[in-house]
Amino acid sequence: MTAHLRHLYLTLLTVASLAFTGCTDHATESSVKKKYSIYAMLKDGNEYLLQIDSLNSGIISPEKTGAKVVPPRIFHDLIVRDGYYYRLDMRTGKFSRSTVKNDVLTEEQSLQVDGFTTCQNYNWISTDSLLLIGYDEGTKKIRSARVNVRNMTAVQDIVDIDAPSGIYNSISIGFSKFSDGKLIVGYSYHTINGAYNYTTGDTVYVNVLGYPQMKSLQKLKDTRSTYPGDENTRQAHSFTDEKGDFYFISAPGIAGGNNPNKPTGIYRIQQSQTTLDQEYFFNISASPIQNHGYGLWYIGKGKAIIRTERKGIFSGMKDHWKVPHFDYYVIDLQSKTTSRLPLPLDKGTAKQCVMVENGMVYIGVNSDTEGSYVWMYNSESGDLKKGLKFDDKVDYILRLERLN
Amino acid sequence: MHITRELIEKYHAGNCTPDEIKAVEDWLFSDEAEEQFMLPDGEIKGKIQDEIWNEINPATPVSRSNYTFFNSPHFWRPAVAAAAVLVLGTTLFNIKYPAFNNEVIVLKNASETINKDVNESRYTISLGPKSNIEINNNTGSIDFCGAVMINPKEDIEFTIQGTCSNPNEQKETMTLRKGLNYIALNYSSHENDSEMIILEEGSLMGLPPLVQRQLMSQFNI
Repeated sequence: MTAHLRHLYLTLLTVASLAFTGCTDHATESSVKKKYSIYAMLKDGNEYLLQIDSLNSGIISPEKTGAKVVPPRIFHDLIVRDGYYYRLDMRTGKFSRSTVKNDVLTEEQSLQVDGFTTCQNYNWISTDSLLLIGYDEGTKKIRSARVNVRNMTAVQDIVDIDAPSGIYNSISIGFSKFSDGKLIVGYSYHTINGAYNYTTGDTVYVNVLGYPQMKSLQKLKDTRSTYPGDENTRQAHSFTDEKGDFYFISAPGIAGGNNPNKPTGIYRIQQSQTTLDQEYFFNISASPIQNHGYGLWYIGKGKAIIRTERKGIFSGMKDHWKVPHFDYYVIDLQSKTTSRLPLPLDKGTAKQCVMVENGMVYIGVNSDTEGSYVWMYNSESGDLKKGLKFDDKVDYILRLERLN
Repeated sequence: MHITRELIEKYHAGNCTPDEIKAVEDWLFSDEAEEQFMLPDGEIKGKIQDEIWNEINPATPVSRSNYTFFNSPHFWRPAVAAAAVLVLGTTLFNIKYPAFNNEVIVLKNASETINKDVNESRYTISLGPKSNIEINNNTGSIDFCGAVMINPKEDIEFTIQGTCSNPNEQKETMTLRKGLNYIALNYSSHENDSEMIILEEGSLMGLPPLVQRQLMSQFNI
């Protein structure tokens, strides 16, 4: 009798365990298939990743429906694609692939990237293959890693770009563009003293490298602006249009290169070319915007959205991050005209918060007076309206991107 | 060897072993006290000064007319020196191992790379390289130059002042919330020679990436 009871108990336990496993798998599967990912920071400093299928309406409470981000402060590190969150850990040099499982950001697999701990620029080689570029302060070399994100293996190279020297002690890789067996890389040099002062030299550098050998074929300089791009894990700064022309923004404002006497501008590299188009420069600071800009997102048909600061509202770096002063302008790349979107002033210095899908532009805006919303801008009709609302605990929508 | 009040008294009574004498003298003449120097504030400081003087005063020669053997310099010079050393040693001991919560903390970090940490009952502080700080727990004021991370153990209102330059223009009173990490930084930019930035660690996103990374690395965020 006792043996029977024990058998029954074990059977029940097995059935229960199978049932729970089934539920878990089901939950994981459904969460992986969510369309969008949002990274929100709350007023109490906690951060949440939200996965959601619609941005058009409704109210969302990150504490109730999100996965708390542990470890926090990775908002500017993430590369998001096909349900996965990729990230290079600046402390360990570990490049990891994670998913949200049962409301927990869970690492699935990782690999060790030697020599550099900061991904300054990433570029998808294919859906399974990712190029990372970063500066290794220890050996003063620019390094790259081609990562197969399916089996998480990497091939590493040294990129043939001059290390900082003379008055410069650091470098930022701002953009990279594949072009017929070549890789075009934009960068600039910095002088930095601890965290106490920092600036960028007056020159945009562009290096044309053989790919994948990473040997320099040609080096170009341009002084119309400086600080080409920024780290593209923080915010988008470049794109390729329907014609194959490549555009990038230079951001010398105080929150970018901190060489604000230079103008913010947009450069172009034409399709099949490897040099900067000398005939093209869209001077944003001299346009009716009259301010420095940072983020740049293509919305189709020759138009882009630029996120620009508003001087006079903030006083310096001390309040640049917390005062709502950011505008969004729709700019026409050919006619070089600008049109301000009538949105509430946004706050947060660097945010990956603009996403384009089928002619609809979704913009995450945090206003101290009008709350936090995903706004929807129809680039065809020009309609602008509120979509998804965030509860009052949300301070910043730091990322808004396609997940699946 | 652990330096205690009893050991110092034993030292001045001349009853120490050679090892104990060396330990006390190493401790007395070490430089460490200059880097982390904690003094009580205001009236308490004055009171201690008076006490020191009152202890030395009776030991000084009063009048040559009352000259006796005890008035002889051969007796008094070592006696005054011994008394002064005793008072100094006791004072330094109290400074190093305070029996009460210090009212004023003065900390200087001359290192190029390493932080200096202070753990107080109400907060912890990590002082960045090439930085200095003075905290007055009575008035809730913090004067600093450089970079510092403050982690309050309870909600505390501080008046924080950057003292690298233009100290009067760099002052902010704010409540630092329990459990959060705050960074205060004197930052030079094109438009401002020394701008004081105070932000909660999550707001590091507001800084240029290289500066943000320097701070995250320095304060292990």
